[in-house]
Amino acid sequence: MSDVLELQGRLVSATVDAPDRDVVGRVRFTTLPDGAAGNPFTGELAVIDTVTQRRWPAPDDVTQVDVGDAYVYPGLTDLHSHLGFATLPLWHEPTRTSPWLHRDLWPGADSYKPNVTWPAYAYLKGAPEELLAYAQVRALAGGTTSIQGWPAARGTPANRLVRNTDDDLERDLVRTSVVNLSAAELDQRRSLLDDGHTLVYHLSEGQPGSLAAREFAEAATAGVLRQRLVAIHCAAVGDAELRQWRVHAELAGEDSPGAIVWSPLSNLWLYGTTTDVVAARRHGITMCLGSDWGPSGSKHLLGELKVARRVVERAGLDLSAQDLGLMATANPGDVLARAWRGVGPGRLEPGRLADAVVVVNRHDDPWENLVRATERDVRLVVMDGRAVYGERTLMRAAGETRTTAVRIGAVTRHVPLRDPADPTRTWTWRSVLARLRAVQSDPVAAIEHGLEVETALVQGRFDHAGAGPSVGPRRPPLVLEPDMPGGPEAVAGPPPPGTAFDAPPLPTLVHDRTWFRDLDAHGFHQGVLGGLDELFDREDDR
Amino acid sequence: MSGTGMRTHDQADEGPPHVAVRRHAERERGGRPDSGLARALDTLTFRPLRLGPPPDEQWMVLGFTTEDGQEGEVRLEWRFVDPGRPPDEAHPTTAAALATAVHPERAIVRRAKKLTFNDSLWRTERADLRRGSVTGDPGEGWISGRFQDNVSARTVTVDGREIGHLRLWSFDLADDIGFVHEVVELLGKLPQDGLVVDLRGNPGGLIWAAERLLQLFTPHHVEPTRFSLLATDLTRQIAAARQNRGLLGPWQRSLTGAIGTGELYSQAVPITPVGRCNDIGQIYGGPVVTAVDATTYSAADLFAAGVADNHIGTIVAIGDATGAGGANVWNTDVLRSVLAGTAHALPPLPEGVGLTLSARRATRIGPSDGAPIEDVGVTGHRRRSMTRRDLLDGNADFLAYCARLLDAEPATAMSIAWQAPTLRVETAGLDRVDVHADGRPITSLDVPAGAVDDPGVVHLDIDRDVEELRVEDGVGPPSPRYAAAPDADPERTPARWPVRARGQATTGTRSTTYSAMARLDVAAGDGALRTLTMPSSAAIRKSSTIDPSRSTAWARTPARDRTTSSGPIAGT
Repeated sequence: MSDVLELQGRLVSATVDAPDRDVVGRVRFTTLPDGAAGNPFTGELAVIDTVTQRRWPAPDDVTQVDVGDAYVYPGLTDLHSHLGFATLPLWHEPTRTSPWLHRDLWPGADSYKPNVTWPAYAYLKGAPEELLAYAQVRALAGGTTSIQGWPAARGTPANRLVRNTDDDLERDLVRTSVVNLSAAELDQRRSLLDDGHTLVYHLSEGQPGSLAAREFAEAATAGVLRQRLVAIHCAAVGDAELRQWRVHAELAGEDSPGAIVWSPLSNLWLYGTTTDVVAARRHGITMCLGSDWGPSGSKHLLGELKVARRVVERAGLDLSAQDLGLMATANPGDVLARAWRGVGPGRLEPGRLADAVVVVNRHDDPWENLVRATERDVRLVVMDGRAVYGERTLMRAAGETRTTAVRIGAVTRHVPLRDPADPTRTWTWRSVLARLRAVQSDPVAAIEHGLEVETALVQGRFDHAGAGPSVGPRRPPLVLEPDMPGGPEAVAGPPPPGTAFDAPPLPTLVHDRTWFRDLDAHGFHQGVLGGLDELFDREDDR
Repeated sequence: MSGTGMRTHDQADEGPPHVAVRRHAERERGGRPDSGLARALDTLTFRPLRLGPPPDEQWMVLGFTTEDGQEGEVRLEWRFVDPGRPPDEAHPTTAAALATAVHPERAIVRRAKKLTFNDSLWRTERADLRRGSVTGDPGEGWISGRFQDNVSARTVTVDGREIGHLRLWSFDLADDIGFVHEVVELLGKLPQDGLVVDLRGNPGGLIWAAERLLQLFTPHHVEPTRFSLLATDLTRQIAAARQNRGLLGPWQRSLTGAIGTGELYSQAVPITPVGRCNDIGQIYGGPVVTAVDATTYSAADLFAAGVADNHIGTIVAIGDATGAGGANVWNTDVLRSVLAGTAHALPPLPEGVGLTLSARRATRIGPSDGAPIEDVGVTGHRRRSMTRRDLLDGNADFLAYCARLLDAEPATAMSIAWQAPTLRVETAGLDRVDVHADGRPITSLDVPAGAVDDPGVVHLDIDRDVEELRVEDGVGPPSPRYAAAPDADPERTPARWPVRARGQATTGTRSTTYSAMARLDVAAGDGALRTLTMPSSAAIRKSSTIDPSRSTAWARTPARDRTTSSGPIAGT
C-alpha cells in the first residue's frame, strides 16, 4: 500500500473560475518534505498534487479509492466552534421569555453554569482526550477537516483527525480571541495584522442596537477592520458599519475587507436575529459559516448549512446553494490560505491542503447536494492526505485498517483512533463513550480526578498520577483549559468547592430527534427554525 | 540635498539626505528613535541655541538636480534668528507655569520657522492677542483670532466633501480659558460633519489648555492624564514648601507616605482638574480624526493620549507615534521658584545658561491605565507616511485619507426641542433614547428609524415642571470589557457618531419642582448614566440637554457612572 492516496469520483473542485462545475476525475495527494517548493512551513506538508479530469487506473505507487458517482468536495472548514463544549446539548434558560440582547447577558442566567460551564469543565478536566476525540468525530461526521476553537492545550492530543486552525502549521499565524479586547489590546492586535497575522475575533455578538455594537466601533477606531480580520458574528451591526470595514481596508491598501463567520443557529437561538449577510457580501466581506457550540449551535457544518438555507428561504435572501456551500469550503479556505502563506484548504487545486470529503450523490447540482447532505451521506473524509473517517470499505481501500467503529445515527463509520495510553493500539469508540458517560454521571469526581492529574503533572510525577484513560505510562497526560475566560464572571470554569450538579446527557453525534425537539420547543428563533428536520430529510437516521 | 558640513558636495562617501539626517540624529535627543530622527530633520537647518551649542558647520551646501537634468548647488550660511517669546507666555511664578509640558527646543524651532516663513503673521501676533474674536471665512483660507500663534482653522474640500481642519500649532500659552473659547468659536465656523484636529509639529505647552479641549469633541465625561512625582526627599520638600502647597498639595500626602511604603512614585493625580475638563461639554458633534507625528510633543502628547483613552476618535500618525514627551516640564525660572525656601534652592546660573527638568511623569488612564507616555508616545490607530503631494500640495493625500475615514463613520444624529409640555425628539440612526428630567431618568423611548436627511420624530408630553431635560441615546465610549448584567434590557446602544447638527431653539418655563424617581417605569441602562450636555440652541445630537429657562445654554457634563462591572466576557 502506497503512501500516496488518490480519490476518483465526481470532483467538485470549487475553483475560482468555475465553482459550479463538477467533473469526473481524480484528485491525488502528496507530501512535500521540509524545505520543498510549495511548503512554506517547517516539517512535512500534505497537499493536493494533481487534479485530473478523467478516470484512469492509478499506477502501482498510488493508492486509488474509487468512489464511483459520489461527489468529492474540498474538506469543509468550520471557522467558528468551541470544541470544549461539543459534548453538551442545546441549552436554554427556562425563565427567559425574550431574546437576549447580547452575549454578556446569558452567562448570568441561573441555569447557565450548572448546564454549560461546569459540565464543560468536567469533560475538559476529566476526559480531555475523549472530549477531543468526540468533538473531532462529530466534526468529521459533517465532513469537516479544519476547525477553529480548540481548547488551550498543554501537551499534544493523541488523536488529530481534524486540523486545528488556531495553531496548526505554524503557531501564532492565526490569533484568536473569544473575549472582548481592550483598546490597548486591539492596538497590539493591529500591529500583528500589520505584520501579516490573522485575527479571529468574536465581534458584536447580539442584537442590533445593543451594547455589542460598541465593540465594532472600538475595533474601527483601533484600526483592526482589515483584510486579515475574521470576525465571528457581527450580528449587532448593519450596513453602515460593514461599509466602514470596507473603507478601512481600502485605506490600508487592501483589496478587500476581511471575513465574517456566520452562525445563524446560535444567533437566532439566543438573540432572535442574525448577521446581515446580504450587506456584508455587498461590501465585499467574505462570508464563512460556523457551527458554534453545543449549547446554541448545530453539531457540524452540514447542520449549519441547513439552518442557513432556512434563513435564506424565510428572509428571501438572494443566496444560492453554491453561495452557501462556498461559505463552508472555498471561502474559509481562502481566509486560511491568506493566513497560512498561501497554503489553505477549501479548493481541490494543486498546492492546496490535502483534504477532501466524499458525499453520496443525490442531486445533480453538486452544491445543492452538499446543502442537503446529512451525516449518513458522508462516506469518506481525507485530512492531510490520509483517510480519517468513513465507510469501512473505503477506509480499507485507503489503507486504514486499524480503525474503530462509530455509530453515526443509522449508519456506521470507521475512525483510526489511537489509544492515548498506548498510541500503538487502536482506541475503541466504546471506551471513549464509556469515559465520557462516566464524567457525565459524576462530573464532580471527574473534575477532582483531572485536577489531581494536573497536580501530578506539575509536580513531575505524571507517571504515577493514577488511573484514568487519559493517563498512561508512556506519555504525559493532556491538559485542557477552556477557550473562554474563567475568573469572577466564570463564562467557563469549575463550580465552587462542594457544589454538586447534574451534567446533561451526552448527546449523539447527529442531529437527532432530541435535538430537533429542543429546537422546536425552545430558543428565540420565533419559529424560523421550526420543523428543521424537514431539511435533513433522513427520518431513519434518528 | 547632498549633505551638511564644511564641504560635502564632492565627498564621494557622503550619502543621500537621510544619511545626513541620521548622522545629525546621533547628536539630538528624542523620546523615541523615530522622534529623534524627526527632530534631527527639524534641527538640521534650525538650531536652537537656548539649550545647545552653536552648530559646528559654518555653512551648508545643498546640491540638487533640476527637472531638465542640470545639476546645481546652493551654499547657505547660518543666520541668527530670534523669534522671541510666545505672545502669551506664562509668568514663571504662576500656576500655569507649573502646569507646562513642552519640548523647549521644538517650541523655539517652531517659532523660528514662523518668523522665517511667515513673518507677517509673526509680526502681528502680539497685536492679535489684544484684539477681538475670530474673523474671516474658513472656506477661503486659514482663520484665527487672538491665539493665532496657537490655533487656526479652515474648511477643506476633498472629493466634493467639506471637512474642517483645526490646526493646533502649539499649547504654549498662559490663558487657557481664552484659548478654549477661541477654539469653540472656530469650531462653530467649520463644517459640522467631519473634522481633522491636526497636532503635527505641536511642541506642547500648557497642560490645561490641551486637556480642556478634549471635552469639546465628546459627549462623555473626560478623564485627564495623571501625573506623579518621584518620591524623594527633594520632591517632599518641594511639595511641602509654603509657596507650592496649593499646587502640589494633592501629591504631598503620598510623597510622605512613600517613606514607609517604599513606593518609587507619588500617587498619580491630574494636573488639570477633572471639573475643568468637563465644564463646557461637547461642542463638536461630528466625527473627529486626530493627526499627530513624531514631533507632536508633551502637552500635545497628552492631548493625543486623551483622544485615545477617552474614546474620542481615530488617531492618524505620520510615522509610528507621537514624540513621546510625557512629563510636566519646569524651566529654570519655575524651578527656582518652587525650590525657594527649601534646602535645595537653585544657585545662580551663568548668564544665558538655562535648564529644563521633567518634574512630574504622566501616566495614561482608561484602557491604557498606568502606561507611561515618556519615551513611548501615543501610538496612532493608523500610520501614514507623507507623500510628495502632501509636501507640495498642502497635505492633499493626507487630508483625503482623513476625509475617507471621516466619511466611513456610521452616522447618527439627534435634535430635541421643548415647548411645554411637549418634548420633540428627532433622530437618525438611533432606535431608543433615554429622557432625563433634572438629572433623573423619566422614560426610555423607542424612536422610529430615520436618516440624517429624514429623521424619525417622537413626541413626549411631560406633565410637570422641569428645570433641565436631557435626552441621550445611551451611547457611551466603547467599553472594552463589561460583565454580564442579567436582564438588563435597557442596555441598548445604537451607532456612535452624530454627524449632522440640527439646532432647535428652545423655550420653556423654569421651575424648582423635581420629579420623583418612583414615577418612572423604565430604569436607565448602562448608557443612561453617561451624560453629555450640549448648547441647546445649537447642535443637539445624540445626547442633549435643555434648560427650558434659556434659549441658549452651556450644558454641563456630569461624571459618568457605570451600572455594570468590569470583567472579561466571552461569546459563543
